[in-house]
Amino acid sequence: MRITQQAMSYQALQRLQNRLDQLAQAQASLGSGKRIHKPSDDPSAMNRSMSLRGLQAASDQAARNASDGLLWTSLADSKLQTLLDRLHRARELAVRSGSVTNDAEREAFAAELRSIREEAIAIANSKIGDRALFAGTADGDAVSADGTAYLGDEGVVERRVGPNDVVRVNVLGSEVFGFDDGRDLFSVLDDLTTHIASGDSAGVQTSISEIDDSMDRILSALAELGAATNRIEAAQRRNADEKLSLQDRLSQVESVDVAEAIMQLQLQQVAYEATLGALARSIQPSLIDFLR
Amino acid sequence: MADFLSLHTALSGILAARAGVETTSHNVANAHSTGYTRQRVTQLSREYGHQTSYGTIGTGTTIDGISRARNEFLDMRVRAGLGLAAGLDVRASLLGRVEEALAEPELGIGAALADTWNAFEELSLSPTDPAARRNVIATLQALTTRINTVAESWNRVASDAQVSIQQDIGEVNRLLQEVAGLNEAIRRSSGLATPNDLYDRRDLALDRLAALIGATSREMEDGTVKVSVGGLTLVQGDRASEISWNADDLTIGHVSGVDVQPGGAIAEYQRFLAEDLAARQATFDQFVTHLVETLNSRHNAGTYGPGQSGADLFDPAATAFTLTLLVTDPYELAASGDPFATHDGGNAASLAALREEPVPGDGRTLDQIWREIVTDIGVSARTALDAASAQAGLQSAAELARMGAHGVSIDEEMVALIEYQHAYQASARVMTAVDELLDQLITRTGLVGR
Repeated sequence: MRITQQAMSYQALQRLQNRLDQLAQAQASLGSGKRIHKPSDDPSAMNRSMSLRGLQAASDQAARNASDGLLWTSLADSKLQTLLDRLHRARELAVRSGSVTNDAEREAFAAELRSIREEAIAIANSKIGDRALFAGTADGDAVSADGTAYLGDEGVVERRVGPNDVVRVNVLGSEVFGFDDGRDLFSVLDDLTTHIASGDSAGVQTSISEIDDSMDRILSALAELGAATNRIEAAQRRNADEKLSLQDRLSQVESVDVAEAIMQLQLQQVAYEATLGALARSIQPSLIDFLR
Repeated sequence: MADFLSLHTALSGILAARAGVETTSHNVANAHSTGYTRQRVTQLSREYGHQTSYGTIGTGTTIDGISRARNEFLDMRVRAGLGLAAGLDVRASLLGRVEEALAEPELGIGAALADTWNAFEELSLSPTDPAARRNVIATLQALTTRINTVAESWNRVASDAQVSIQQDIGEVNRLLQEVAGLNEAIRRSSGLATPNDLYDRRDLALDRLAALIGATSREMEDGTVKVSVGGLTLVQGDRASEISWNADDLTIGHVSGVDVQPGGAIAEYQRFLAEDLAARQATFDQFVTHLVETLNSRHNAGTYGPGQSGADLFDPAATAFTLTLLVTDPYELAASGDPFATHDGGNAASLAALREEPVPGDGRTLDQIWREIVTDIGVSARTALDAASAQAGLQSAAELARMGAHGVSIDEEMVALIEYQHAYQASARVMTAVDELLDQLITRTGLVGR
């Protein structure tokens, strides 16, 4: 093929352009640390990257849901534990009241029981944020201030703690405090106070067994909460593992292998310099240089 | 008599050498002119000789003409490729802009969707929290803005393509006029001498026409070229016909009433507007319709405040470009699935569950639909880029071959220059020799016995 100076410089410039383009690409990928900057860089990797990012967002949210759920179960758990303690005390007072004979001491027992009842009402009306812990999804208090009525609803509070893993995190005041069974804890305590104050030992016996029933209900609620807590904690561990694995997969799809990128950059740089050298040598001389 | 003839013979050599030097200097001067074809003096021995009784003595040289080293086949090859390469470049850059507008994977609609699901789920955790409600409105607004922005950028790509095609059609019309004018000039002057430099200018115009609209040309007997596009003749002799762009129905009109079927860059602009972009806008609008329908119906199912049903979140008749968020008051977000439960977040959770639920009648989730749109655009852009760079490689080989055949080689010109210089010197020497012979005859003869 016939070659001319113009053709040679055209070709040399094109080669130089290609080299420079590859050098710029190598630099860009190393600089950003990313292998794909736009969908056309690798369409199937982009698809995977977007789907992994979606899963990551869902998993982040599941982690937030789980910690929010734990807040619910642990708060309910500690509140109900306290309540259980108070009921133990109430039962103890009830048992001991059988051997008490003077009115002043009975009155002291009754006074303590009344304060236990107040405390129980306060516990029943515990808040989590701006809402009642035991009122389902209703607004306001779970139990009326005098302890005679359940004000909440049957609303279930659930948290999605993982893919297809929804955990119920609340227990309802209506169940825990016995409103559903017709013998609520607060009237039980009320009756017990009356029986002790009046020295009605048969009544006290009935109340003791009713307090046992109440404690059973609280214990079963605690068991439910414990199970929920366990499930949430297991989900949290799974979620943490999954987060790592998602991060790993995402970086496999998106990130540049730094060692390889550095080598690429070096190679491209050498090639670019070699092209420059060849160009400088080849376009310089012509016959003119050798004619006198 | 014969001696005088030799003087003329030498003179013809001198004249030919001079023409050779002049042509060479023209070549050297134009070594880097665009579209220049190197020229050569074609020299022949003079055909009528001096008859003598012992035979015919030649009478020197004659300049047959100045030829142009043009190879029609290489021209055809380059022009066929020019149209393809220009078209693929246009396609790659337009699709590149379409995908750039997506801003995936970090700042695109995909991320905005994920944020939206998370915001709804966050709202389900604390349905009465004003911050969570405001956050939902903010993410919905961000999603709306991103969808609007993509649609708007695509519209801008379309209007830019319209402007480019308009400019290109203008240039095509100007070039067609130029070719017709050059045709006329060439036909008028070709009786006298070959107008090489006019040919060069016409070839340059034909190259540009091939790139712009895929024009093909055929040289006629009178030296003019006939230019046609897609079988429609646009230049014949000194007459060129105008073409015009109809922006509304995306066709190219011609006086004959037949639409021009273009090639080259213009064809790809046209195809992009009529097919590529239109199809993508349609799938994008379809995605937006799905989004609006599913979110609206979910939101309608929920309640807010004391038992009020959720209104439409988005304008139900919206396209991607016109999408607007209708519910902007955080209070009106229907987070509750139970009209009588203030703290219920059931509907917010069910809105968030759209993250994983297939769209009715489609079978894919919204995230999946969007991912497929992005992947489809990515694949098209990738294919266009690969095709463009493959064609650029082929094109540069064809261009190089043509440049090699047509271009000026300085070395070659220097050799020619020395050859012509020597020829000139030799002819001058012949003239001197003849002059001396004559001198002998005139001044030294006839002196016998003096």
